Amino acid sequence: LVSRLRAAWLSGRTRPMEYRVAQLEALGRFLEEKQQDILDATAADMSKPPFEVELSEISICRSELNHTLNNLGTWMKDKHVEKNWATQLDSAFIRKDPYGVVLIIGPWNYPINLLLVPLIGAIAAGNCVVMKPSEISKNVERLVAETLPTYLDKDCFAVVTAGTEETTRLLENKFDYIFFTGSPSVGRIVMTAAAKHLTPVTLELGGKNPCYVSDTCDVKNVARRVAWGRFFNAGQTCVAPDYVLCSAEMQEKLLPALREAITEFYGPNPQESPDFARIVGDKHFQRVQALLRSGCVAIGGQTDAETRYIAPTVLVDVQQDDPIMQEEIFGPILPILTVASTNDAIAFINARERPLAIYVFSSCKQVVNQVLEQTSSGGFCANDTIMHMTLTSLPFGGIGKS
Amino acid sequence: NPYAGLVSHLRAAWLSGRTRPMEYRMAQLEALGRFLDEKKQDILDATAADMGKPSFEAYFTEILLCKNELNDTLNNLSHWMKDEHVDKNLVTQLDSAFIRKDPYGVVLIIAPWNYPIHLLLVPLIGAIAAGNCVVVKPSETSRNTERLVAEMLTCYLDNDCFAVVTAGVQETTRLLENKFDYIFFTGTSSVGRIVMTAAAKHLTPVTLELGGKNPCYVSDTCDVKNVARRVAWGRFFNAGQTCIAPDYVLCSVEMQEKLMPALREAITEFFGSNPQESPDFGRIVGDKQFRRIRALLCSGRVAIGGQTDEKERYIAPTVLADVLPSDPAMQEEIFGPILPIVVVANMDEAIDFINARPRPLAIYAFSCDSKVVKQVLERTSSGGFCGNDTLMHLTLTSLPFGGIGNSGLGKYHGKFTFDTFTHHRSCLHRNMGLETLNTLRYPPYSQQKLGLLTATFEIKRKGMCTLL
Repeated sequence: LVSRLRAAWLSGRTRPMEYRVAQLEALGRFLEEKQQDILDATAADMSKPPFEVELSEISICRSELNHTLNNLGTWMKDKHVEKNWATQLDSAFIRKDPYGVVLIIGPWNYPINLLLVPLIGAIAAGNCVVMKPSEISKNVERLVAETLPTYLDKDCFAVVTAGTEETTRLLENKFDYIFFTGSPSVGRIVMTAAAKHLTPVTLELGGKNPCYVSDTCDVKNVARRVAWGRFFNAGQTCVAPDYVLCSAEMQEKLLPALREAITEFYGPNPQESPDFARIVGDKHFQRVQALLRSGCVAIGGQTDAETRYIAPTVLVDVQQDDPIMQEEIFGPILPILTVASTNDAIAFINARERPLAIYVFSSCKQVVNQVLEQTSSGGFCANDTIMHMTLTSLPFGGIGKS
Repeated sequence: NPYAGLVSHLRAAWLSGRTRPMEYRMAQLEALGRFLDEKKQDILDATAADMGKPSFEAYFTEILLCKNELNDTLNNLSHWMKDEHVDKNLVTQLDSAFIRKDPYGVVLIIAPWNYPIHLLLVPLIGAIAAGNCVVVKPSETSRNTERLVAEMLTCYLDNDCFAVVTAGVQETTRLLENKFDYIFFTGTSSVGRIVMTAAAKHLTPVTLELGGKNPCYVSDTCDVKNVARRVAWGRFFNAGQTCIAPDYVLCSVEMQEKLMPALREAITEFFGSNPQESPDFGRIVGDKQFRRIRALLCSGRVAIGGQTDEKERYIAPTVLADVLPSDPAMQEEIFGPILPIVVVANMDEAIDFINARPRPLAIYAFSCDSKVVKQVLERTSSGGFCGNDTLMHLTLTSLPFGGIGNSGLGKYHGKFTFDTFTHHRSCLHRNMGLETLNTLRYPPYSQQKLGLLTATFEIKRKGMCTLL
């Protein structure tokens, strides 16, 4: 497979802009024509509400696609650069070359988005691509494996379905770039495999995204924005607020506001709401459920193993050593830890691995700037959650373990 | 872990925020400038002792090019450091959206021996400019320069934030067990693999400036005399110990005939009739390297040069003719003053020859016909490319310098060095109020809400009309 794609790449087939535009437009048709199949597959995999799928899987991909199609001509152009005395009469420019044959490994939580958005860029840049959708989101994996190749040039683009073993074998091959989205532990494995071939990588990983809520804020707005970010896709979002840091007084105010927001969103019994997703698999369900033994359940806490339902839950009096603070939650549980001050919150954050996102809620600009300046993270959003990810003009990625 | 204390000392300094203010970084950079000025003679002496580097060459590459990078950085640092505000969509119109230029933290720079000051300082300039704390490891192979850097560089810099470590292979392996926030390595591909594997344990991003065999295609339509001088200059500078030196020539048998006398003339013009007596020709850095390069001489036939002197580690500027792909000189990066010529029938064969091999740091093409140059550029892949000269693309700070595939990953020079050592952090600062703007996205979900939401924030394809 790899040598077939490499031969196609060496033939120069993916280089002309017209070719790339045609492939990208075909991706657009995939999103349109297979819209219902995507809704059905993601519903089957993790009961994703159609609204969430439309927003986070289809619409976002369409935006990236259109943004790329609108700008590809400009992006592809040679970029002429400033010259010095000795080179005044020369032509000095940066040529935008493809890498060659690239590998994209997608995760299961936004299985269309996190496969297609990298794919759009890889195709736009003129590469041949091997895609490996996640085997955990089984229905989407099948959809992608069976239908996506019919839209694309099979000589240059391929979908590989693989579990852990086969993915390890796949990684033995030499790729010219590897784009991986998943956990830090697998990220290490991918980078180590890439190192054997000196293959450059992009690793979109995860971590525990802290959410500091200062004492000066509109509690009601904070509660809605944090609840939205935490419970979207039943918490299975890499940039979801993972835990809250606030004063004891703020915790007192936040709880009723969070309770109100959750009821507003999902009704008095979220298990009956069509707008709340489920955990993707039994193993994951058990893992997340075990984290409930941390602090005290203040809101929610109910679970149903048969449907892999975990209620939108808020935990209070959580301690640093509790199970829920030892790993990325990736579920609909929001622990609250109390800190005495902004400085303590910053120290808490800096004592831990650098996360994909840091959130701060404060009406006070100085507080926001202080947290921004004294911490380090992939991205940062003040007074909301997740939204920084929706701007295509902002680079999205992590730092350190994220 | 012998280096744990050092790394945590630097990490504490970084967490204290000391390296963040622009004034601090400028002061450290200006101190580097003073190092280059005040220690100029020591640098010339050390590189002369290490590899017989002619002082002209040392001044140009180790001092002048470094000062260029330094001044470019000092001139532009405040601009580079600024938050970069970005385009917003309808939903975020009233927000502040920007890219914050954060340092990575504690970074490691491992430098090679061939341009031991330049390839240490230029990354260091960017690392400091970007606000990092830095551990620098100069090469133990260029022993005199290593000692100079270890003893003198630290006097100019803040020792709480910047450290020089002298280490051989063993100790470097121990050093790499530590967690760094970025690793910048210049050296061979095989060691590059080791560095990246070590970095992978900590998920540390890397820049690897490696090497390879840089092909130099000479078409039949060219000014042979100019080609000979430019190729000879690039090949024999620093006695061939240059990562982007033209490693081998590809040309037709007729061009080989024409090139030979022109190369002979150029070499004589540059180094005189006995290059061993020229003050302008370097030596090989060590006995091991000398023996390795000498062994490559049994490839093809020696058309020019070929003399060696083990005591001085002198290898004459040499051109080998009729070299075959299977010859020793074609099995590894030469990194010495030997230029093999491999005959090909035409440009297509040259391109196929290049594409059958690992992608090099640089590809050179000489032709009066710009279509030929364009074709080689379009149909090959390499770190960088230069038409009708050698090495020169490296001297423009506005061009990113780096490899691809076996020749490396990442790029630097000028602003690209600053960007290499900078974490581009996406920031969105929204309003605490204005909650009505957000209500469309909250459950309970409805088709109507979805329609409004996608209408407001989805990017549309330009030039398409929708008739309602």
